[in-house]
Amino acid sequence: MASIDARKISFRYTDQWVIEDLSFRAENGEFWGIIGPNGSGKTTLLKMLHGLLNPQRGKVFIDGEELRRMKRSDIAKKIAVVPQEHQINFPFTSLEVVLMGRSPYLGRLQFERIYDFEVAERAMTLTNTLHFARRPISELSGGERQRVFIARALAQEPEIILFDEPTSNLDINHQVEFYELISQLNQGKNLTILAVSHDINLASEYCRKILLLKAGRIFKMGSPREVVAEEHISRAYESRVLVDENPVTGAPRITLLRKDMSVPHQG
Amino acid sequence: MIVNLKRIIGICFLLSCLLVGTIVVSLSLGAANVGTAEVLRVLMQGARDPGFPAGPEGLIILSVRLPRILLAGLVGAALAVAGCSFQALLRNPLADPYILGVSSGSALGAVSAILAGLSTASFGMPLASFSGAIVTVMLVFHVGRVGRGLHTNTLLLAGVIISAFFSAIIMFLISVAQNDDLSKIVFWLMGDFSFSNYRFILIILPYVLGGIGVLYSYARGFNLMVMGEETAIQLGIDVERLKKVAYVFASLITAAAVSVCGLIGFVGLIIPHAVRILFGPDHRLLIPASALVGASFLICSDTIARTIAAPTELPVGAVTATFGAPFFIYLLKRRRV
Repeated sequence: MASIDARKISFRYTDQWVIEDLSFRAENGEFWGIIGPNGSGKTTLLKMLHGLLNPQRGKVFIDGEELRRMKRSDIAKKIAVVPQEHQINFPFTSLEVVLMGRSPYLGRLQFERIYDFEVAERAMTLTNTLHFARRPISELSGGERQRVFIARALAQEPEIILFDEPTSNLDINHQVEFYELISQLNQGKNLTILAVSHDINLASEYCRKILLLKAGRIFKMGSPREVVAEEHISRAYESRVLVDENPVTGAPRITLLRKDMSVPHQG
Repeated sequence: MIVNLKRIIGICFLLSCLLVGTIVVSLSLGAANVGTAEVLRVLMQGARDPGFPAGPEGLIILSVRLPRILLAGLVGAALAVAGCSFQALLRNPLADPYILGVSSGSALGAVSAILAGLSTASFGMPLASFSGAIVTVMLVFHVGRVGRGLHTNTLLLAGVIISAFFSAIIMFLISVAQNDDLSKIVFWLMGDFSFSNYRFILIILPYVLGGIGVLYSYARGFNLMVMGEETAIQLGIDVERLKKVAYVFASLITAAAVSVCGLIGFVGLIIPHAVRILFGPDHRLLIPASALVGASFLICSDTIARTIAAPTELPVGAVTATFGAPFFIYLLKRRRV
């Protein structure tokens, strides 16, 4: 029901194309990881997929409707975005922040209804944030704040959630907790999820599809097993890696290598 | 605390009572001491029969003190709401109504009017200062515009630079001014309500109330805006329109306020900040509460300015800073960090 379809989209800030002729389709309920080296256009792609940037060439469709022609509030009812960690100077409480997710459903002068509080409470229960509902978000730790932003995204009752480098400021335990939570949402609520990630191993472990970008084009896309392979990763990132399997789950796993190490032959 | 209509009405009712109390007390204070009972009697009689000759007390209260107090209240409300809006627009809780250059433009207009001998013409000063402010607003808007959108950082820089340029001209004008012009300039630059009359009130009332009304209709948008521009867009807000409305209307009410009384600092910075500490950051409550607290605060400050060293009057801007700053520090310290 909720698909994102990008058809031959291109974008440039100045004269260099940041994303060029990219076509990509995420079907309902899929869980995509978007990986690629710095400057490969991951964040720009994500911004085009929810209309924050309009492609100069090509079109993006949400469920067959062209994104550019949709009203902002209608887009917000379909797609939620969990931002990268950023500074907020105003002392809103967690609950107030989560209730902001109801904004696309409210008239300009309308106050939140009982139903909106119910949605917010469910979202906070799912993300385990209800116990600090009354604390200002500025007082929360990075992991807690992240979960509040996920709760806000859920309060939008979206069909698609986009994540921009969701784990870049988290400890390893919070990184795992984060991916556990969103794969649970992906399966339990049938949400379509796209996450830009720096961590190839976590993406390979949890995402069911991987999109590998390089220089604004798709370098490789497919299942983690197809994409997270030595030849693709080392060529896309221009660095030496060793790919083997996670001994427990069997998902492909990369190991970074020093420049002076030779890659051992795998038996 | 979650903001809903009941909470907004309750808090605003309490703050309105505070405002009315402040007005009554302020009416009774001054060179001629009038008891509060007498004040109430005069007000009642004036309301029942505006043409009734009210005697010397009535004259002092209705013709001298009341217009001044009402004007101070209106200006206080305008500056406080403009402060809220600029803080939301720039996502910075320390922004104030003068940050984008309205003050320097209106000061340039006012100082030019004083030097041109227009300060005694009936609407010379307000007109000159309002025009100066509006020209500045348009100039900063034009410089701060990137393509079809407003870029808040560019806007801020444009405001700072244009302010600096106008201040340089003002410095030059001050350096060539004669003595009696100079004291008029100083009083204008630090705020002065001694020329208040009912006509001033009627002129700025539509600007201030209309502007506050328009800004209030964007209150929930402001909440999202302070979470970040991209976040606001992702939550369905037309951010470009919000920024333009916030900038234009907050500047307009600032210009209107400044044009009748000169530059009064601190109100637009401290009131929204203090109200936020007391009642939380939700603009649906913050805007009306700031308006009411701003009005009471400026009435108090002006009452102090005209009574504490009587018969000499202090510039009200000096009072707002002197009494506002320690209060602000107290609020900051009291807040659990």
